[in-house]
Formats: sequence, C-alpha cells, structure tokens
Amino acid sequence: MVIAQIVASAQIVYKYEKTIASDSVYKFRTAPVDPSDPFRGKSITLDFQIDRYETSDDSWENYKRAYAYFSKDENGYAVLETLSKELLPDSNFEYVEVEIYNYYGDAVRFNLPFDTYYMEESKAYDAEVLYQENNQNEKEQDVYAVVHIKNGTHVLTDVIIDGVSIKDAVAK
Amino acid sequence: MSSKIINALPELIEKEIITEEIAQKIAAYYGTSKDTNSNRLFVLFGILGATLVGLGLILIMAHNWDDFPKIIKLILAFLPMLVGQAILGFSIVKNKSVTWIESATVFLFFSVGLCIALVSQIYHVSGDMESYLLAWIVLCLPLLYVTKSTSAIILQLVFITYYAFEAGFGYRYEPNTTIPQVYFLLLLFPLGRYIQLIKSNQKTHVISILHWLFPISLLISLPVCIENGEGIGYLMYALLFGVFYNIGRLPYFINKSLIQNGYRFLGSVGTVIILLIVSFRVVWEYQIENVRFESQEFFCAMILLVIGSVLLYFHIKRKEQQNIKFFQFIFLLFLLIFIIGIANYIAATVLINILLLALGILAIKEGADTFDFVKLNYGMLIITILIASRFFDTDISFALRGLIFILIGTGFFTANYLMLKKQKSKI
Repeated sequence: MVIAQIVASAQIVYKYEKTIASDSVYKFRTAPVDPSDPFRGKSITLDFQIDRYETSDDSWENYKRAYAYFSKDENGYAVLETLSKELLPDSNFEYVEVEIYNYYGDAVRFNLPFDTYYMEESKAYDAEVLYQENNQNEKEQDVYAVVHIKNGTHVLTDVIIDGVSIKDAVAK
Repeated sequence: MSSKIINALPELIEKEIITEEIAQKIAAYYGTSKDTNSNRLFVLFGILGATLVGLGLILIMAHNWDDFPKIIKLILAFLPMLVGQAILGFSIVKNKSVTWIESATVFLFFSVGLCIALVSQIYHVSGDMESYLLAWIVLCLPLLYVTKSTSAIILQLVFITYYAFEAGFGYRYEPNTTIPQVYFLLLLFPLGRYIQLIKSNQKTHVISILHWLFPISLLISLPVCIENGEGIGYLMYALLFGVFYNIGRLPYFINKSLIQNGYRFLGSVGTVIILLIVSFRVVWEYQIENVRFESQEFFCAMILLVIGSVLLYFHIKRKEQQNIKFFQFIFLLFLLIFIIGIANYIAATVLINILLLALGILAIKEGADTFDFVKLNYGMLIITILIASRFFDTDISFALRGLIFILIGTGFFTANYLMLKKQKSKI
C-alpha cells in the first residue's frame, strides 16, 4: 500500500520531468479566462488560437479522442501539421491527444488538453484583470503558453504576456 | 439509551431498588465506565483533529506557493503522505491504541489526496475532478483492510458517493462509460468491511452510523444508473426503498431502535414519499412514458427487483418467527401499477391513491393496536398529506378545504387522546 501510494505520484513526476528535460518546447497563442478549482487552487483556463483543423472528412465524431501533430515556426510557435483519429507511427512530429468538439463548416474543432494554469489565487484574479484592461484598450497582446511535448506527454510550464511570465507581470 | 440507564444507577441504589452489586453488573454489561467514555471521546477528538489538520493542509497548499522552487513544492507534496505512512506503520507495529490508528488513517487519507492535488498543480495538469477523486479513492482502498479503521470506511463511502455524483450527474460533453459500474465496484470494498463489522458483533456507534450512510449513498448515487429515460427512475427508487425496508426487517435489525436502523426508516419514509409524488396524475401522464426496456436503467431496476424478491422470500420462509408486514410487499405492488401506468395513466393514478390510503389506515390501526403513538401519527400524517396533495389537482373550494383540515386536525387530537386514555386504563 505504501509503495503504491508513493509510486503513483512519483511516476507522474518522473514522466513530466523527463518531458521538460527533453527541451521540446512549443509556444501556443492563448487568451485566458479565470475559474477556480477548490482542491487545486486558483487557476486560469487558457483558450488557444489553434483549435481547428480544416478537412472535408465529415466522419469525425463529437467528444472522441484524436491526435494533433505539431511542428514549430522560426519563432518557436506551434503549427498544427495534421489531426489524426489514430496514432501515426512514422510521423516525425510531436503530438498530443485532444478531444474533438465538433465538425462544422469543413473544419473539425478540438480542445487542447493543457488548458489549465494554476496560480496563487490573488495573482490569478489580477492576471485576469490585467488581460481584460489591455484587451479593452484594443492593445494586441502577445500571449502564449509554453508547453513541453514529447512522445505524447505534455507539460504546461508558463504563460507569457508580452515577453513576461504571467506571475511576474501580475507582480508588477 | 445505555447512558441513561447508567446515569440512573446511583438514584436506584439510593432508593434501594437495586443493590450495589447489581448496579455494577449492569454497568459492566453495557461496557461503560468513565475510562471507556473518556477513551471514546479521546478517539473522537483525535479523529477530528487529524481531519482538520488534513483539510487545513489541503487548503493551504491550494493557495499556490508560486515563490517556492519546484523541488521544495514536490517535497512539501510528498512529506505529509510519508509522515502519515510512518505514523500509521508505527501505530500498527507497536500495537498502539485505537486513537493512534484512527487518527493516523484519517491523516494519511487526506495526505494522499493532498499529494495528488499538489503534483497536479505543480505540473498544471488539467484533469477533471472525477479522475482526481478516482485516483485518490483507489490509492486509499487498502487502508480499509490494512488498518481495520472505521474512519476509513466512512471516508471511503463519502468520497465514493462524491465520485458518483461528479461522474454520473449533470450534462456531459462526453458520455461517461464507466458509471455506474465503477461506483458499484468501488462500493464493494467498504461494504466488505461493513459486513465484517456486523459479523464481529462489536458494540460500536459507528455501525449505527454506517446503517444510515450506506443506504444514503445508494439513494444519492442511484441516478447514475439512468442513461436516458427518467421515467424508470420512479420504479428504481420504489424498488430500492422496498429493498431497504426488507433489509431493515432482517433478524439482525429486529431489536434495533429506529435510530439504529436506517434501512427501515429510509425504506418506509422513502416509499411513502415516492408514492405521494406519483399520486399526481401529471407524473404518469408526462414523465412515466416512452419506457425503454433495453435501457441501462431498466436493467438496474430488474436487479433491484431480484434483490427485493429474494429478501421477501427469505422473510416469507421465516413467517413463523416474525410477522410479515404489508409494507414489505409495496415494491411489488408498485411494479404492477407501473406496468398498468404505461398503458393507462388514469388507472395507475387511482391505484396509487388507493394504495396510499390503505397504507395510512393500516399504520393507524397498527399504532392503535400496539399503543404506538409514532405509528398512529405516521398513518394520520400519510392520509393528511395525501388529502392535501389532492387539493392541487382537484377543484375543491377553499371553504371545503379548510373544513377538511379542521376535521383532520380534530381527528389527530381525538385519536391521540383516546389512545392515551385507553393506555392509562390498561395500566
């Protein structure tokens, strides 16, 4: 029982640390919205710009799992290469498992899995306010999530607003 | 009850109703002494303290200590769990008291949840509440049998019910294919310990609490069996209450008071409530329709029917030793009326109202025959609520309604007065 309880959490830590150490880093452009989770603290829900894949194949089923393959542009931003219902064993691109939202207008929409960023509760609120203020001024923000992806495992490590970590941006 | 007897002993000795020796024998029989009472209190406060510490740690950790480096956060995540395991191991190996075992179990339970929560927070894992709860519950299942702790049974039961609520209720983007199977599978573990406790014949208040918690868990979680049509939900609940009532009439519960017999209380009151709800025509007309016999909920209803029938058969075989009550058959009658109701809702409505009236009258008669004021007033309450319910779907003038209520109220007073008078004349 003791070993099982320790190993269960330790193996998650090992998997994520291995992914971070792989240096396979992607930037995903986002626009944050702020909810709360009582067991795990205040969090920001991230809404990504990459959320659809254009295809004429209308056999995609809602709420099913699929695999999104990404490459990077010259600035390190993630570029969706393809969306597949099955794993592609010969692909050279890293992938994450996503949930299909729906198929409409020749495009299949999906939800990326790393959409929750936990912060100190007071900072989470201020982060939301900061973003909304800048949004009201119609100032286009360069907001993106820093995600490490390796062999299907993903780890969200930071959210950057105009070149500054969201934790530091709020502190200012 | 036993504490009242113990407290009355000094007065009885003083008035020479019993001797000192008999008083000591009575005190020993109920197993209470000041030492036992204070030990029980100590255990309770120990558990409360451990619970508060565990919950407090979770809330503090949820505050997000952004300024700590990751390694410190990971140490803080694992430390309470390791400490809890060490204390529990020490308590078991050194054969420490119940207080130690119970407190350590509660602390470890919450520490495991804390560890999973904090690791998820550190790595910003999005996972939903149900997968978090499931991991927490599964990792703590061994506590039930390793420590034999009664707190572990209660905690597991509460969290398994919470898991069922999270996983099985409400609108879902993605249909959950694990419910209800996972809920019932998880329930088997604390159920095993519960049955062990019953068989051990331990005189503990925790068993009485569990006689309520298990049926309440099933009551709350039953809707997870409903996939599509809610109409069969009424049948499922009526069958479940029938199962509860028949469990409450088993030989084990015969000498138990109503407070100690959650099954009988919930079975009886629940049946009456369900019958009162379906006594309204609109329920049959609009909600109990389009019943699909190939559905998951119908399958669950049939399982409940089988369990209830087996229990009833057991009681029928034992009818020489114990009377069978009409209430024990209600779930079968409801099934028949339900089948009729699918074809003709008016007939079903009328039959349900007749059934309720019969139940009320039977309860009044039984209360009057046995001088049981609770049963007498329970029967009158059933009839009162039945009549009051009919005010909502019939056109009766306010004056007439008022007159009916006056008559009912007068009936309450008269029945209680007459029975009290009869009881006093018999003494």
